[in-house]
Amino acid sequence: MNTTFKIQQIWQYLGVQDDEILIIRHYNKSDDKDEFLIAEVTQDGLKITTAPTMPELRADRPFQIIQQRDSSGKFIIPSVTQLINDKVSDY
Amino acid sequence: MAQRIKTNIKFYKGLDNVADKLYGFVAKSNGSWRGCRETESKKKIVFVDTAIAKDIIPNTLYSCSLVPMRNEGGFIAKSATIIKFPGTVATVCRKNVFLVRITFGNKEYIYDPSSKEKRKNDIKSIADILRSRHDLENAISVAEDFIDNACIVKRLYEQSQSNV
Repeated sequence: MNTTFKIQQIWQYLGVQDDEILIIRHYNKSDDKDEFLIAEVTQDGLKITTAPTMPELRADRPFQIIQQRDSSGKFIIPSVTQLINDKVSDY
Repeated sequence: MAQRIKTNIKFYKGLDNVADKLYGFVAKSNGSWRGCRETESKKKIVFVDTAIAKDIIPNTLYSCSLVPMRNEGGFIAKSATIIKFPGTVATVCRKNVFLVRITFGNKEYIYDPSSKEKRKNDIKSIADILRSRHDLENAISVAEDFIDNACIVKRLYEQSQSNV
């Protein structure tokens, strides 16, 4: 499953609004460091950029952040399917 | 030898007013036994082998191996391993909404700096709960991640209030 598709799913799952940005912290294995994926709506659809640090956060710039660690403690892009499955299985 | 069944179950305490008696339920779904709620029809009861009962935390999901009772009236859990769910920390800052939501399995904790309830507005209390959860993977790290996000939200919430 590619990154853009996963982020689109998260965008819908969280109900991110068009004037908000979505920030996802994740571990970049090839660079061996965390990075921040920033998704925002543009005229051409969802635009995703990468930043080495958390962008500046302000109260007048609405945003959502999501982060999850895998079993080894590294930040990963959460899987919406997994989130739903976990919720159902933990009856 | 009776066939063992692997499935995930939650146990509860106090069946028939016996305080320490642990029990859970399974029901057949698509040909295999799965843990279920007491309200489920066509369920079978599961008791816990006394050898492992002392380690069981009620209302927590376990991966279990079960053997049928001799009378086929239910099952005995012979082994149980706690299931740890990954924690997801989701932060929202928009207009009048300032929240950090931590979810794992079907559990949810919310930090809301505008709340008057201590269970929602106290960062330390929520972090302490997260650290103590046995069903949360990387509980210590998730608690730290929560604190980082809660501090951001608290700061932005206070800024927004001072701008009103």
